[in-house]
Amino acid sequence: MCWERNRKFLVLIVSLIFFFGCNKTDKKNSLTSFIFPQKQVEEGVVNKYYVYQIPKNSNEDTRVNISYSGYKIISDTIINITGYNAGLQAIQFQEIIQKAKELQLSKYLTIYRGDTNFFQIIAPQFFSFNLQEMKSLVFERKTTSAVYRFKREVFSIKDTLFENLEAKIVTGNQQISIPELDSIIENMPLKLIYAKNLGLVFSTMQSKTSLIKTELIEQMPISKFNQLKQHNKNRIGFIDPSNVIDKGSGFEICGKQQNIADYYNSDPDGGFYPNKRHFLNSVYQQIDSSLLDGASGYLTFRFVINCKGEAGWFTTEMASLDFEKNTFQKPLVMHLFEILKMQKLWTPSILRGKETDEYFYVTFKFKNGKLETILP
Amino acid sequence: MENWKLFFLKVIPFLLLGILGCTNESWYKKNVPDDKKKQLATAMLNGVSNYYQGTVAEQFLIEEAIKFDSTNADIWREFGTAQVKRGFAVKMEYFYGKATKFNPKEWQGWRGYLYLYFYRDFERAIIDFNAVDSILGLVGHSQGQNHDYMRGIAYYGLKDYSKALTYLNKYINTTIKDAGLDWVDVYAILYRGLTQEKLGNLENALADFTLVLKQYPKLADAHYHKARILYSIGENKLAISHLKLAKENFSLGYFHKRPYIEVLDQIYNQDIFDLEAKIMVSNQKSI
Repeated sequence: MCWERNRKFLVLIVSLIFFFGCNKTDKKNSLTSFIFPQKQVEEGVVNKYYVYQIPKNSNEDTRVNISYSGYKIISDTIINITGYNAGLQAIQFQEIIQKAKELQLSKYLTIYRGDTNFFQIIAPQFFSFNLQEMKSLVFERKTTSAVYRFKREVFSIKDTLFENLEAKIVTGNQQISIPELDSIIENMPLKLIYAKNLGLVFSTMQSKTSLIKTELIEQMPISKFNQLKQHNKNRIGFIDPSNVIDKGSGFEICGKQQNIADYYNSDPDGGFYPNKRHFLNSVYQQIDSSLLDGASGYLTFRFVINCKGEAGWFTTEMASLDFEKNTFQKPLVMHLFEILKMQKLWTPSILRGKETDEYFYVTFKFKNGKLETILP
Repeated sequence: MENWKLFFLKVIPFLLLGILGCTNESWYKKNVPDDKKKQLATAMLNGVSNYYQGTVAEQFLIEEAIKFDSTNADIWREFGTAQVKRGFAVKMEYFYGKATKFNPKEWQGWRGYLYLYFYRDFERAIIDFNAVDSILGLVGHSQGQNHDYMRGIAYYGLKDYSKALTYLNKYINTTIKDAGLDWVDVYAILYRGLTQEKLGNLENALADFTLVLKQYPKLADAHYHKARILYSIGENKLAISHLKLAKENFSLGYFHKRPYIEVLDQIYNQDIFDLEAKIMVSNQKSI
């Protein structure tokens, strides 16, 4: 009898653990439970979105991009939102502060190639679920040509369902203007759906040319997102200066490594100086044919030309004439490397009127011990 | 004792479910319906225009697209483009090989174009052009260039000038017949002129360079090659007048070039100066 009573009690406890064990105490009010994901947000949680750009012109194609929003509670009143591009690189940051019955945007910045640009917050209210108390969110961005003002207004907030979850549908408008010129560039009607505990799950914004539709694809803990970030990918053609033939040569680039252009970004192309004919004459004069010894395939040297026209960070790619992985004799590789190093001047890319570091390559094509051609 | 065992057998599954329910396994994930996957993959491929080619973000987007449609040739090809432009021959072959496998009609000719201009592998280029034309049952185009025209260039590269002439003639004559001279790529006529010269037909070569200049009066290449041949037959005065125009127009950028790579027999200002020097010496000798 005693056992029977205990058993029922224990089953009840287990059931309670099962059904309610995951529900942490809801410290947040109803506003934040819709606007932000709730699960593990103290540690950090990331929403992955597909962003559709659907053109009005039916002859144009729909484009889909991937973006991520990372949410993290910093304190009882502060939450940070970091936006990432498809490559999981941070591109924007927002700091939201909870004050009384509203959320305020306190910081907003964008990041491009390591440079940070701040928005000036003019009217900070980010959200209030009391429609009567909703005000416009206004922030400005100063560029070299003008100050752009962004104003978001909310017209209505209604209850709805998202995949059987309690949700809120918000309608409003996003306006872009240039206050100095008293000019409105665009008004873009907005629709946002926030599902309870998930945060933003769906949105649309209608611009003059296209409908921007965003949909939540996946929610993940920050730990999983951080694992995804450990991808070891680089831009195609990236050269690691710690793993180059001329390591320790003292070669330096003029700008940041992430800003190195490609030789074909410039018009005319960067690369050979003063031109390829000059380079070819020099190579054919210097090449030691005794080192060719039946060589066949494509021996490519990839390197960087800095803004001063100096070359460095040499690395190699080798392919057979059948475009399979290949190797060449080291003395030949080093001989050609020395010839390339002896070229004192190369042509850097000119971008926006300024000499810029660039990636370049030179391929020596050999067939049965004969240098057939030099590319590109 | 038996009661306890029974209890644990009943309770443990609940406990496990409860624990699993609290773990990260239940994170939200939207499933894309099978019938939408191909369409989404194509839209993602279109989305790569949001990023500079070859960036990490572009690579992730392409990989996501391939997850939804691994047989989409256009996606594989897009993966290959930055590899080509940045000197990765093995990877070019891999990605363009995939694109060709899944859509040879569209991409085998483009791969032929790469073999021809980026790798100077003329045999492989011809094989690809022939393969596509055989599928199409007609002479196709790739990267905006007619396959007969490119076969002509490939045979020119192989120094098989007779076949080069055959294919360049075929392209030029067919285009004139179907659409008119204005629709002929002027560089095809330039290469036919060079081919004629290699075959020893100097008059035909001069006629072709003259025809090029009728279509494109500023093309430095045609002036230069014409000057070269005129000089070789002792017409120095006429040669100098063309050389002057070659020099002037070359400095203004009116010469045959192609993005990313050097064209076959591309001319440089040294070529013009060298010829000028030769003519000067020749003139001095004759005084």
